[in-house]
Amino acid sequence: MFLGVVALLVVISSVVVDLKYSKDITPTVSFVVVLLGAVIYDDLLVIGGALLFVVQRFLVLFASVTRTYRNPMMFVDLVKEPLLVLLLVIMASFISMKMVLPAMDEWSSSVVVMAMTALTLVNIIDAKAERMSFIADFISLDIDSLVDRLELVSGVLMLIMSVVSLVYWGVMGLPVLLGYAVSVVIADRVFDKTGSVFLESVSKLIPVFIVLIIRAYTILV
Amino acid sequence: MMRTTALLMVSLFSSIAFLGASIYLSALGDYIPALFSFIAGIILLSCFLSLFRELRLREPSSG
Repeated sequence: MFLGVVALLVVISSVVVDLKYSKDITPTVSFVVVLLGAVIYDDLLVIGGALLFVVQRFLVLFASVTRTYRNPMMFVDLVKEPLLVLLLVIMASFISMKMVLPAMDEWSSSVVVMAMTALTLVNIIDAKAERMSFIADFISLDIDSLVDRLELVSGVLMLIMSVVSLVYWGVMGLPVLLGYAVSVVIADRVFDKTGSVFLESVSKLIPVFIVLIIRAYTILV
Repeated sequence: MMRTTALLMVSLFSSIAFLGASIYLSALGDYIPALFSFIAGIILLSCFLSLFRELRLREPSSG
């Protein structure tokens, strides 16, 4: 009850601050979604994510009440991004864990967490660049930035999944993690310098091939 | 030019194959290999786009 009242106060005050200073309530909407996720699913990681948002919202309030800056959003911009990146990492690992769980009823919570992650991503993009220019990049298909983003996303996902496979498969997941390390070294040290884009991409696929070999082996044996 | 075009086609088709495999594997309930296949699809898609850009840059400008 007490926590509910506190959450409600934070939501109301953050809506007020958002409308007053940034004219954009996307952070508050994402905060509400994460908060609902924490209440409905009662999961430690989702609660952790919600707590991060609460910290962020309190920073907004603190900056607006103490009038540290003329515009509190300036102060928030400094601390918003690291917090949101941390939140994204938590959510991504949460999704990975949910995905590898055998029970299919976990799918519903995965969908909710995916929605949260999407909202968080919107926030990060919002913090890093103007939203319109980001959308314009995609519409005009700026290949350079698109390739950069895809490489970043695939690199982060590969690292997370290598760790997840190690956790989930135990010793069997060790070759995957080793394969990831080897692929990073080969891609960065050998093929990045020779300038062969195709061979660089193929070398990044080493952990994928290892996973498929392990899976085929476990099916056959 | 021919080599780049061939690699372009290989990366595009293998990207589609890996993305399709990820859908198939997730339908079978094999989530770890499915996610790895999805990542492979993204990597090959970015490879395709890089090669596409390379090919476009090599083309003589018409004016």
